[in-house]
Amino acid sequence: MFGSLDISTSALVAQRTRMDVIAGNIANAYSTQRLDGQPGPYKRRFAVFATGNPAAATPAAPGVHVEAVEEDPAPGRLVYDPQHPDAIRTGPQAGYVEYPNVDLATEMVDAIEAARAYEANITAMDVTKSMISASLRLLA
Amino acid sequence: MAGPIDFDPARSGMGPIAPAGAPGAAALRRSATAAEGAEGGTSFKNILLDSLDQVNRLQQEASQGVERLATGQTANVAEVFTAVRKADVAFSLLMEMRNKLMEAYQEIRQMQV
Amino acid sequence: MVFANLVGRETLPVLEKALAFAEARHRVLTENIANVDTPGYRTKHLDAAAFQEALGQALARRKEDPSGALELPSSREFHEDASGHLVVTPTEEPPENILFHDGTNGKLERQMAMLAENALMHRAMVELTRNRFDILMAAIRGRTA
Repeated sequence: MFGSLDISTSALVAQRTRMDVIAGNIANAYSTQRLDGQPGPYKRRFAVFATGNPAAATPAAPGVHVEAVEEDPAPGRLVYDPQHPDAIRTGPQAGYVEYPNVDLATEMVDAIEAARAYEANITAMDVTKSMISASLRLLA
Repeated sequence: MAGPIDFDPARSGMGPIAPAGAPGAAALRRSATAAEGAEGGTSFKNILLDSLDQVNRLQQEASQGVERLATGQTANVAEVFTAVRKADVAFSLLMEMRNKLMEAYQEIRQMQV
Repeated sequence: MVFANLVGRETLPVLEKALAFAEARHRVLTENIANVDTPGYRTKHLDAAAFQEALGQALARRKEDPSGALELPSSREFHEDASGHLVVTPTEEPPENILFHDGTNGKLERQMAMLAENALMHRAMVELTRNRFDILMAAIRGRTA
């Protein structure tokens, strides 16, 4: 019964991580520089879920976790703006600024989906707790 | 003055408690006969036995209801729970009757005759 | 033997088995809900109707032999091990639609509904078990409270 609480908790953690990633995407929707200093704009990131719960006592326990946070390599939007400090200097796209490949509508839908899954797992935890409470009163 | 009364202990069931020849013996005998009942069907003993049967029947009905709920033959949880409660109330009543009987018996035993 | 007859008769074994299955099914449903966004995940399934039917068969068999214990017939999804514990192996549902782009087939709403229904059944079984034990204690003590 307490294993069910672990499963739901792992899902809450995973969905919260996903929300963090989405929030990062939305915040950096217009960032033309990368954090690690490499050339190019910010690229949209997404969380990859997988079954299993490495944080549990037994790693083979059921549950879900974020296996990796990957970058979406799709090209971003190109806007012609030669005066921009991050404009491309050479090549066929000279004078264009590449903006991140973040689509706000997609991110909002993802955020709603993450919130829905979060709430569903909260409800599952509530149900687990009430079942445990009822079982505890077998003794009283 | 009342003469010797035709007192039959076996029929009245009062035994050594009822004194022969007392003015109240007639009244005692009348009430004793009433307690046993003319047809012998409404004595306290019969009421007790009948209650036992009823409680047993209610408990069996409750058990069957629980089994039907666990095997999915009925989805009417309220009906099953009510049947269980009825059986429990009947059982509690029977047990209280038994306890009161025991108390009364203890009291009578301790009476100075 | 005295105590086995006290708590191993009538409805208590039925309630215990139904309770064990309800808890196992709750865990499976919780796992499905946790993996609603995991790509490629196939929902796991424990058939409650099949279990209830098996329970009915065990009860019918016990009626023929009232002194025997309640034995649950094994199925692909559940069986009782040597010590009487219920062991479940949930079946995985095949992908039934191609609407979800990440390859999952879990309908979250259906899982939530099954979760609620299962929890109600669990609650009913727990309350009935508590009631049976209360009556036993009252009978042993000879008092109604």
